Amino acid sequence: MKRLISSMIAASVLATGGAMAEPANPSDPEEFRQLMVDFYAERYPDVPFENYNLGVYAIDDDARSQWEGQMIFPATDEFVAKGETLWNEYRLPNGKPLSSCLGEAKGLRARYPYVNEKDGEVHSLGLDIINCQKNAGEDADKVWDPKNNYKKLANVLAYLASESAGMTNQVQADSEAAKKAYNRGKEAWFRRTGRLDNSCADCHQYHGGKYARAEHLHMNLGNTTHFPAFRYSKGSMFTLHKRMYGCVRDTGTIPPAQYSDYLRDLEYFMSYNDNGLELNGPNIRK
Amino acid sequence: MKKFTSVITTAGTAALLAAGMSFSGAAAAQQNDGLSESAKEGKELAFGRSGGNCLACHQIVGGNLAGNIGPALIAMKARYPDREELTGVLRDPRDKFGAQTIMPPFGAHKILTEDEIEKIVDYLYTL
Repeated sequence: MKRLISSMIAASVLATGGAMAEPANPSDPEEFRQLMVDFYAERYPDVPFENYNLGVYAIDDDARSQWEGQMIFPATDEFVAKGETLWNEYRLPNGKPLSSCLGEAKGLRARYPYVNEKDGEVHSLGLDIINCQKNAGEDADKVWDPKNNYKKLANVLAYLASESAGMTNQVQADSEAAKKAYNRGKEAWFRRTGRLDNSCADCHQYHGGKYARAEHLHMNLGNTTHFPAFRYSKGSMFTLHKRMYGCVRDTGTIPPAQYSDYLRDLEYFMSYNDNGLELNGPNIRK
Repeated sequence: MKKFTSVITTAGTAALLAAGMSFSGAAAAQQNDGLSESAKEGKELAFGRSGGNCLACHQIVGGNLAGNIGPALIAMKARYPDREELTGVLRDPRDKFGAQTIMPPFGAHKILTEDEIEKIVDYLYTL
């Protein structure tokens, strides 16, 4: 906890241009989001805010031109098509489609993640699909959880992302429960864990944009808008939760499960910080 | 004339090989001349992706595609005349750089053994 607070102090020092100041750690999500935006506006004054949903392609012209080539006939199309078929043809045990509990596909992704005031939990689109199937009494081995039917889950999420592409990311955080969730996610972002003793912020905020070996580290904005993402280095579709899980694991931490409270809080924090960016999933990343 | 051409070809091939070698591990191998056994092992740890993986963040002469998160590892003996201080940084960099450092505590978190840290310091002192 002591470390977390000193992380915040470092964040505030950097955000205020190096002047030693009181630790700026506003609990109001919008105020804190503004700090996160200002942080990179200062580091990369030439990168327009709306470009942050391109990830490292916002700061690396060579990689960006390669990516633009990949997006002419994007590898994601195949997964979107498979996902659309699944979405239309899959039936819950009660004979109804998934839209019966989630709503229509158009704009569905753009309403996630959100905090339900009743249970105080962050709702992630992937988990809501899984819960929809479980609540309808689907057989455990047929549920599209990351363990048993990951590809189906990723494909449907790709299709749903495509049905919200071009919309603006507008995560709401008006309720008390939402503010609490945001601050839990913030804590997760700044918490140092694992063998490498690294926090998310260590790599993706303080050192975002720098190179680890030949790879750029992603920045603290635009982490969520483009998921699920086809990673051409792995040749497969990655959901946001699979990516977070892998990233945490690679710091030598025993990772929390996909769609656990911990990773959903983190998803909510990152998604809220991406407010104002255009949703551009599914997309292609290395 | 034919002989002359073949001389040129041979020379060209040799030049190409030499140029090619500077991009491969062969040049790095040559640089190992004069390193003690311990420093050689330290270098392997520093360049390897598991274990030390110093190249992930630090530029080191002879290392390809190094990261730029930390400072370049040059003139280490001049910068750390006190060997124990450098060893201490590898064991737990938080002692010297503060809790905010991104450098992992290689000794404190048992990423490297004490013996491996000493070998890497042997190598760092040759830079």
